[in-house]
Amino acid sequence: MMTKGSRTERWVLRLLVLALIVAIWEGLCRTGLASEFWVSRPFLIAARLWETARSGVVWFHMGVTVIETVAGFLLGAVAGILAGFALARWRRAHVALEPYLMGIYSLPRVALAPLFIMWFGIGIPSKIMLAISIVFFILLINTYVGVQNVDRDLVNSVKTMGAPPRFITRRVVLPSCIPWIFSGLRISMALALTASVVGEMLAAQYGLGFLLARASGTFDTTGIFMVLIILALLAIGTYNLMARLEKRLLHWQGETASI
Amino acid sequence: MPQKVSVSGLSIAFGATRALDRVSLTVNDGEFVSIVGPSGCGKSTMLNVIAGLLPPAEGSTQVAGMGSNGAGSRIGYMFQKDTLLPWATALENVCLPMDVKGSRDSDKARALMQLVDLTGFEAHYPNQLSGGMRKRVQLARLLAQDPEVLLMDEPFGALDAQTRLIIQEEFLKIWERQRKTVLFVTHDLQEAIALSDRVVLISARPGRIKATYTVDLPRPRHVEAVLAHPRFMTLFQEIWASLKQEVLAARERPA
Repeated sequence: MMTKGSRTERWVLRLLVLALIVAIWEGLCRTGLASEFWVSRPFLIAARLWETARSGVVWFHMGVTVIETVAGFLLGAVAGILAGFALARWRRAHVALEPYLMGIYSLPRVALAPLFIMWFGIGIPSKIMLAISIVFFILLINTYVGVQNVDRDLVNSVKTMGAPPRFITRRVVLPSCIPWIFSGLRISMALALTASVVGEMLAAQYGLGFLLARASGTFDTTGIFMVLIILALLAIGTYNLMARLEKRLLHWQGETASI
Repeated sequence: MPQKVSVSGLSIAFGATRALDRVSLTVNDGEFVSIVGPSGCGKSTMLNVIAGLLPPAEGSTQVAGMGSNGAGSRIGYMFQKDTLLPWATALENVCLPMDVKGSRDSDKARALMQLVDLTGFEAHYPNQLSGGMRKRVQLARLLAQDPEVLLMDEPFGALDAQTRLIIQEEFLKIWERQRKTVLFVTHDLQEAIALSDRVVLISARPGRIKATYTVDLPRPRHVEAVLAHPRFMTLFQEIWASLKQEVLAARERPA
């Protein structure tokens, strides 16, 4: 566990690393050791970010990507968790579906993007579907494994108190699945963002992935770096949000790591 | 005296291995009976059958005149392993059996926490408590359930020797006030004699009742005083001589 006094120290150290990277990068370009064409330059990227933020362009594209990611994440997670419980509840369904589910789960899901673009168009729906197709299976499997891994001794001890199955589900099975579900959610959040961006890079008119593809097409290195920085900030933001939520819901487990 | 637990002709098999072989046993109301025997003789399995967690291969068990499936909350079961809900505080865990019955009484739970000497730890989660404290919370939870029969499966086995002695003493004190029927499985012969009215010795596999010993030490007892009592010494030597044979026999047989 971190002590209170080290909090400032932590951030000072981290900012120093950032300053060092920026200084070296900027320095290499200014001295001509690196070419602006290939690696851009921190000052140019910051200026571009400022300019597009002021005009609102970047906010619009970011909004599209965020909507796709969040919608795909939420829909996929809810459906996946419910399906996971259903599969754990009905043994027959699990036996019948397992090979197919594992087959789709093992498939690199971004490979479905061309199909989804054909089916759902180049707009937002195809990206949401792509995100769902990833998130759904992760939550399905994590929830299913969570239910299977419930401590039998806990179940038995509550059973000997005369508890009906409903009580056991609510007070023992559900809470013990929550860590599994959370670990699924944490992975899914990052992959939902990946799905949206990949979908946008393939075929779209809006979104950060679209900006990235367009910048690449015009050899605009500065534009590429700008989008990468926004994506990194988005990913860190959502990760921390999940970590905070997890800490609140799983406080009985002790500390969880966060960036 | 009315019978609280009766086991008649009980056999249990794991695949081809016969764990218990036609065991019959009765425990009277308010009696404290311990079961000792070599590991793998089916002691714990017998408790699981009585609790209705496992079906018997042959024979039947009754608790308070009812078959095990209907026994429900008449039975309080304490496992060797920690079975506190890790996501619930100590107080919530003590309240759990009352929640099952649909009548939570937080004041009663607090009083039980006080009885097991854990006032001030109500809001702690199990992973914030020591092994001995978790055991005491389980004891409080067992008492909150207020069952007619306590089934205890090596409940203090995982504790270090010093903590075990203290918990045994506390448990004995509480039990002598309440006098509930107890069926207590242990591998610790000293513990069995110090706590029980009767000690039942089960043989190596297939487990049969080899002998029953009445512990005629006066109550109320104090564990450390009992351990120095001359009668305790003779009983210990007598039972150990017989138990030792079974432990050695179990060692020679493949598991």
